[in-house]
Amino acid sequence: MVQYFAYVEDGYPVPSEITQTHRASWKAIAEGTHHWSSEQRLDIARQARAARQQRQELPFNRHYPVSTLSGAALEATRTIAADAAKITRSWTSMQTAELGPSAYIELVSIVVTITAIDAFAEALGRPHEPLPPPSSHIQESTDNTEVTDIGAYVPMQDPWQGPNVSRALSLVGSANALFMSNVAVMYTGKDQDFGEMVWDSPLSRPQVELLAARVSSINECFY
Amino acid sequence: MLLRESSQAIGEGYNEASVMGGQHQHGVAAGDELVAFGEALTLGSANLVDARDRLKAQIGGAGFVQAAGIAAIFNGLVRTADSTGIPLDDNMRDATEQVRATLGINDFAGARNTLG
Repeated sequence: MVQYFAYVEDGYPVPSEITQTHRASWKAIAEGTHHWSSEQRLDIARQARAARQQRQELPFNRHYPVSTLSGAALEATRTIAADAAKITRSWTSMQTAELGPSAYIELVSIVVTITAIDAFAEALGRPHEPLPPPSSHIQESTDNTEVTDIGAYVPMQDPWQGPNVSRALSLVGSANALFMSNVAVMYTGKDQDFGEMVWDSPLSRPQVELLAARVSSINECFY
Repeated sequence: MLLRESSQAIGEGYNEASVMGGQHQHGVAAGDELVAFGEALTLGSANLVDARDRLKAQIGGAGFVQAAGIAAIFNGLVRTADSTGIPLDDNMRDATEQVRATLGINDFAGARNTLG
């Protein structure tokens, strides 16, 4: 059986909670839902990886793996992965009209999760982890009935306990859990409280926030 | 806002303009190395290897792995915010009004929806 994300075995002192979460993410991405088959979810991951790797190329110079995804799914996947700062409400409305809001949110969760995990590999100086094979297991992905229009492009849960951005994918609980489980271990870590301004970690909270703010500004992310 | 509040919490100075790039004297320990590392990773530039080595030399292995996680997850978080158009909550919108104007952040494309 393939053991993915062997960080420590490869000499990287990565906390075990990150390793376990990345392994769980790979398992979840490979499982089908009632919106996307296992093969389609892995195709989304593959396309997102290819798009992000070519993010500095002009769109007409980019090349992608062969795909059986619909045009709308490919457009959404590649744009979020490589050109997210260009996304507008009207663009999102077209994608959600074509795919359905819940399927769109599941697609977003796969793209942003593989973005974070691939970027972590690049940061460490490791090759990207091979994607897992398709799984026959089907996830229970139930739409959240506590969502409403809060002025976003898609419905979100309201009221919400916790950091505001952590409800961005709350329309589909399993999709939100896929990405936010990674946020929990890669941003705050298991021993830190987001609301605390002093962290007992190798980096001070100001060091963390300086790095986070610079990454956000390069991406021209207003949020 | 979190950079400002966390710096104040430990009695350190900071330079908020440094998050827009081209600035030094961040007021944060190893700030130059952290910013260079975040830039190289996000842009996929050829100097990532050098930026990684310099950061490791400054903050050690455990700090470097934490920085790798922060830089990586924020590349996912920005895409989450951009693709869902999540608006700022009221507290954040009010608390960042001045700094957004000062740094030109309101000119980012995403501001059209996120400001609400």
